Amino acid sequence: MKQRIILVTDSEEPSGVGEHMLTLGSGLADTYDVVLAAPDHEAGTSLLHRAAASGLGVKALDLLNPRQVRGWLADQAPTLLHVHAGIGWEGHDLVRYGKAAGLAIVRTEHLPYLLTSPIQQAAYRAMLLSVDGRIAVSQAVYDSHKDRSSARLVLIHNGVTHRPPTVSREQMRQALAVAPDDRLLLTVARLSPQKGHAVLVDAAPAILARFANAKFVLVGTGPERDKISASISQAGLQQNVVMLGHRTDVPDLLAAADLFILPSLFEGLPLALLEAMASKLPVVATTAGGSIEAIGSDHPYLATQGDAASLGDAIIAALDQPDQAKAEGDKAFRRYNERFSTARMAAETANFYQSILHKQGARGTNS
Amino acid sequence: MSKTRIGFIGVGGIANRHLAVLEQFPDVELAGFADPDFNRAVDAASRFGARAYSDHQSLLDDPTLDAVYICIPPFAHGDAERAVIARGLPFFVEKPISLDLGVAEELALAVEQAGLVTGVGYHWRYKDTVEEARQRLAERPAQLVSGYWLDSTPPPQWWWRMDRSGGQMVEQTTHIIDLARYLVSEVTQVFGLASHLDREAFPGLDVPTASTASLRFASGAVGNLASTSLLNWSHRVGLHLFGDGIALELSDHDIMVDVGAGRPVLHAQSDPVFKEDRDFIDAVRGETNSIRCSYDEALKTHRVALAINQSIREGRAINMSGG
Repeated sequence: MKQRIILVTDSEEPSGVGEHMLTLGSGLADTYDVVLAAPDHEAGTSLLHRAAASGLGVKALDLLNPRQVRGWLADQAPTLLHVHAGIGWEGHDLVRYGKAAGLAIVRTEHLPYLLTSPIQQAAYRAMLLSVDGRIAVSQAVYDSHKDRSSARLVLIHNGVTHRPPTVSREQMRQALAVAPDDRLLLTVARLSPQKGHAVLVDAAPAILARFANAKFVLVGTGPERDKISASISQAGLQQNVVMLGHRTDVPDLLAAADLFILPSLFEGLPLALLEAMASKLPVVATTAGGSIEAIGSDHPYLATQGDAASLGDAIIAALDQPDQAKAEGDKAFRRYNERFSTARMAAETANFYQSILHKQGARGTNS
Repeated sequence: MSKTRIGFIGVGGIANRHLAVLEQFPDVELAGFADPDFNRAVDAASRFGARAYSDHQSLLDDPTLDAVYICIPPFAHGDAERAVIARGLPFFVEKPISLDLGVAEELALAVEQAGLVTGVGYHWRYKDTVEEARQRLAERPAQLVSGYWLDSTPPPQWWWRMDRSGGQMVEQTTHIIDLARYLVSEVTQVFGLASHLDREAFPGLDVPTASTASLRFASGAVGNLASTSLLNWSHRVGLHLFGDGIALELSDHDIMVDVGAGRPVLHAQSDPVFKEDRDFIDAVRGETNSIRCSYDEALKTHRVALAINQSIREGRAINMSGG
């Protein structure tokens, strides 16, 4: 029988972390008996339903009933508990319960170290005493956590699974009322100041002066929606810039697009950019840390953050050289495959588990 | 201690009755749940860290299962059992075992050929009050038997339809038939009568709302059964037995034994489903097989219930062959 691994979160809203757990769980399912555990609130239950549909074991946790949670964990021993923390103060109790139940504990940090309160910092240090190994999902996260504890820390880049499109490029373009010879420029990002939509809108006139058939398609929701919409109207760009809101058919949109643009001012490790790379679509990004980590500093279509002229130049360059842009898309796909695929993330994670379990086993026989 | 890994096919009300017991067993792991209502399967799975499936075949593809509980409505039996038997897995199935006698007989034969451990949910056999009755009747066997299922109409709409539930005799009173067989002897002859009352609150309900049957037993005893679903409460569910100088009244929660010295009542002390599930798990684990109702045994009870329906349809007494 396969070794059991429990992926667990106590996050109030496990959206990004939840996606990561689903991706990792599916990647590990051939090797391990993976159980995904989440709180029994609405967001947690919805995550569990998706996990069950992808064939993972599922466990709802009543966090208001610690005795029950501890009892269940004790029942699982010996195994490995992999706690996913969206932010520093999450997952402390789960780490402690798991340790007390005799499980090996791995903790993934999804964000840089952001704790500023001395009390929270002390609680965090105390919690780390029960952790056997830590995983950081990006270089930035790794750098900010590496000196916090002597508990082993490894960098395992976030991985995404390439989802193939379900409709043809022509069908999607027709649905979007985009002509076959239009240039479709796609941006998938939350509508927040961090993502730099304003810079893109500022850059649009120069791009349209060169490519009158450019169509900007913005996917995502967020607090900046009205502001971005107003700036599009003000610039008279309604014919060429459309906002689609939240979409569940991003793979189809990627297939219909000619270029992916992520104008971010700063980034962790942008999953939308990784998804674009996985689809071989040429990309234009900024030199924001996480974006560089994803696409590589030698990528030819990089713009300076917050600089509309620089962004416009990079986009025009990519549109000007479709053959080179296509070659760059292929190159980005290879980079995704080597560094950011689910299979690679799962294999590295499994290796890390084995080293932790091996150490635990060795300790077990010595004692 | 290795754990016995159990899968569930069907996660409705009666499944939850077994889950409440099985989760207390330290040597059992609830590994997977299959239900056409996938959300229901997920809800059960997420109580135990298990997997959820929308069909039984996917559940049975798990090579680590040790046994299966089949808790599906009366009309749904057949495919699930065939698949479980083909996998060579022991199974516990809830009564009634099928609406189609041919299917039940086919499955009983397949179980026998595969040599599988089976259990069927005739849990009355596990009541401590029934133990008491058995001991008393060993000395003074019952000559007259009177069984009752006088109750309300269950809410699930499948129960209301003859082609879905088989009617009250097959779905509910079958417990009393099984108990009579267990405490008296095989049934050799039945004669049934039934009536139907249309009620506004139960549109489309086509099962008899009152039914009765006379029974003859191999031991020479005679008896009758009375069933109705016309009440808005549970009036009486039980079996009364009378022998030479002894009267016993078994209800679902106590027993009264009258030998001419008052009417002392003993209340049930233990949960019969707990003992029933424990016996099944023990047998699956290769320990002593003390299961009180195997598939083959349940088939004998089911034949009597179906014969009563046949008698009601044909208006004549039915002789049971092979008993």
